[in-house]
Amino acid sequence: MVLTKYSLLGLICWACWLDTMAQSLTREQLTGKWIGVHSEFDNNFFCPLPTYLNLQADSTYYLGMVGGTASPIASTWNFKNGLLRLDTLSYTSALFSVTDNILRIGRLVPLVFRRFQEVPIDSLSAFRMLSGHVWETDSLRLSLFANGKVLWENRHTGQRTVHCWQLGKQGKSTFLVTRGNAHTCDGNYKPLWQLVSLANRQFRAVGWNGRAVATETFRFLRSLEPNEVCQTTDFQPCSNCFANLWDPHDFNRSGKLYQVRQIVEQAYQPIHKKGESGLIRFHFAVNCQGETGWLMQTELDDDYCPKSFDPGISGQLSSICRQRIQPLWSTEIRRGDVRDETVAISIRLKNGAITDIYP
Amino acid sequence: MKRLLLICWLSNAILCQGQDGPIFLEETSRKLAQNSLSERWFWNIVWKESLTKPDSVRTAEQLQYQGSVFAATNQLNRAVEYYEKAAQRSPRAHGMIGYIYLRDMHDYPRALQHFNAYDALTVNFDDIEGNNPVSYYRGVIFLKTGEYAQAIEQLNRAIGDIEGKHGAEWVNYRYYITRARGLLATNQPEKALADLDKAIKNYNKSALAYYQRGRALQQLGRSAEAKTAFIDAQFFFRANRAEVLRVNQPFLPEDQFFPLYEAEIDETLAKLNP
Repeated sequence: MVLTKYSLLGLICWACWLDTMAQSLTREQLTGKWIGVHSEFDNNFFCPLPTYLNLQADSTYYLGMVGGTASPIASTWNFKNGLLRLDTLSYTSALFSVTDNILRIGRLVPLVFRRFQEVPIDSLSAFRMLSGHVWETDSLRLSLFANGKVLWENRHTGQRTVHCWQLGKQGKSTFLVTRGNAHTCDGNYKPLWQLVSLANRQFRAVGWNGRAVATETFRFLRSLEPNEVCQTTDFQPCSNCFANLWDPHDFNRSGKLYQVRQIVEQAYQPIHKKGESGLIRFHFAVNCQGETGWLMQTELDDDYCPKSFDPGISGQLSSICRQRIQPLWSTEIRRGDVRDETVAISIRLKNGAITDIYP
Repeated sequence: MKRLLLICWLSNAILCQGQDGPIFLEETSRKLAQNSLSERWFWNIVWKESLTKPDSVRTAEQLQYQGSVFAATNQLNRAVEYYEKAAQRSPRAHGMIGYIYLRDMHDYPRALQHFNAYDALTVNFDDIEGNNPVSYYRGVIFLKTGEYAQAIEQLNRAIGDIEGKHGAEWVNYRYYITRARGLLATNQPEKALADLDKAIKNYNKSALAYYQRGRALQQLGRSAEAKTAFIDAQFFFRANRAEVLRVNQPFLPEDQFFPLYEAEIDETLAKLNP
């Protein structure tokens, strides 16, 4: 009984605190320029946001591109009685928040912005300093080639991808803007970095480091050789906003399942062995150029618990997948397709014999 | 369908990102709208946020949705765990769970178990899941597992109920084609042919029906007629595809459980013309 009473009291206090928090947000706190960080599709899947919001004191509202690659959209905004209005859109206090200079809008796919602080940086000096060198933080290594290409290396995962880089202006501030892929400088973006200081053999920049918005020090690592080429052998999606598994290939529409079944059934030499039953699943990504990578093999028993099949079975199917199935998505066959996607193929086995092949 | 709502929405949103300047602004505007008070997106928010609720307060549909999210991210053991929880939460969920096991996971023993549990909810009634009676799904499952006599028995029930109450013209043509598969597998081509004629009568543009008719005629040794049926199948396959693509619709298989592919028809015809 006592516990219930105190629990109720705690709940009321918590509700009051929440209410106070919502009400304590003022129009002044929202006023200003907000630089896009990312949209949060999932807990571990963010897509960089190359746009900014400018909520001016006179109720004018601008939505524009950092770097100014498009004319900003102008409208009006207001904040009254806990309700935020952007143009004709309304957000209750449950739909947005400002914490530590981070503005989050929405609950479905929250858009995250950080408060912009003007730091005058001369872009020409910055370009001269950055171009042609390799710079690194604890989490990122950037090889900024003079021809506008950049080799972007995630130091935690080791993944290296090729993009295009340039310096973009926002007022007097300068941003390192990275976008595109190995084939084109169009397309979507990597996280933006706002340069905040240039010094001897290092520069500092504000941006998303993979865990938080932070000011990172990019240390000089080395100069690029004149004949050094910006390239990687790692598989790279065309989009910088591609999450493996979330965009599956639609076998119903492509009709490729028939070919896959024919290939597997013809190439697989059954190894009849009791207990070799369950499911072997293959997932691989295909980019818009028809290049494949990120092959993942999962082996499960009939109750979907992880198991290891006889290497003669799993190795055989793995080879068939790599050598015969993945090429079905090569450039010539994928003509007309421009999307990155994930291909999933499941193979059911009973005592070493294939009983079913499905997406 | 609900189970894929978020996944499809995410996919679309991701694809739309690969655009330039003004279109990025438009995309951000669209996302701002999706995150606003707009009623249109309210249910998407409810579904997404249901993923963070404790299991004890989730509905059967929300548990099933959680299972589908696990399935989409290749965590099948967790997916199965949540499908089973959904069925425990509400016995009516057995039907949908059975359908998921059948369609998405090709797990026929589990699908059958759930369809049986679903059908047992009402005595002497062939329960309906989606647009089809449970007996039809059972027929599909038994065909997949090679238990043809039981498949025919179940399909007799699915077809017989509708024929008896409303007449043969009200039977889904796919039921006849599915039963014909069982009849062909048990070497009863005349009966299969009769079913396929009924199927064609109910939908005379069915490439699938003509293809199976070709197989029935082959089994009867009527090669010339079989070839004509396969050519008809090829014609209707291409015509149907052209028709849906003309109106910018996706070309989906006639029968999701037994899809027919153009290459399959072409190869069959090629074998007839050495």
